[in-house]
Amino acid sequence: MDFESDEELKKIRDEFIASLAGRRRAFQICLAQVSAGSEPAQLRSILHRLAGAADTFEVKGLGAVAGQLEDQLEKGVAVAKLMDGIALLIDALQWTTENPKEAEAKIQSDPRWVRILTA
Amino acid sequence: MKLGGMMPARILIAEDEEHIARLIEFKLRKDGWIAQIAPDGGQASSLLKTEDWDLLVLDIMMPVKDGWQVLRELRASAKNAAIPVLMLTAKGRTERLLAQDPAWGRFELLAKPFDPGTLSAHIRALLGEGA
Repeated sequence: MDFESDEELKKIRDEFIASLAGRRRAFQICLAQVSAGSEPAQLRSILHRLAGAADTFEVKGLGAVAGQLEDQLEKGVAVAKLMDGIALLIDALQWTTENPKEAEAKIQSDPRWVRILTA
Repeated sequence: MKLGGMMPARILIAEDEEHIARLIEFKLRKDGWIAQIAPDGGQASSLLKTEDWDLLVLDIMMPVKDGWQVLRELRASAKNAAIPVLMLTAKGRTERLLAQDPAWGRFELLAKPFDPGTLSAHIRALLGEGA
């Protein structure tokens, strides 16, 4: 979809990108709660929403990382075993906020990305 | 959009992800339909009870009530039992199996991420409108 073809479409996508800084903070708070013993259901829900929205707005690198982590949690993998991928997701949220056009290449060239895929 | 000078169809969008909901709303309005967003399953249920709708676009994973709960209530109500539903899912496999149960009534599944043109095509088909 060409988000540049219409001002309103571009605005919605830009606002999604702008929302990523807040989502990053929310994710980190949730992660701290899970590390302290809370159930990971809320973490999964955040990842699910992030993956769906990022893919829809064609922020593909970020969507792929979130989707992979969501799949791993769904399979029952412990959060403690996903810390590598979680750290990448937190970085990916930052990179995408700063420069969405370059973020995908940055994510895919990160060694943690390969480790997530092969986990 | 309905043909022959009739009122455009009214479509309720039950989707908790704000930006996806706005994207759907934008596309549906651009195609000539009347669209409104319900940001969770509870508000979708309320709007279905109090207003008349021609179609429901329904996300599955939502707070308050999930999409399946909203759909169950819908099919159990005399007012809305026949409304066509387009369910949005990021988890295709399980829902596709569940979708084979005729008890769910008239609905289709659309996997996220979706192309907005495909979304409109599904809606036209469910509403019985020409392309």
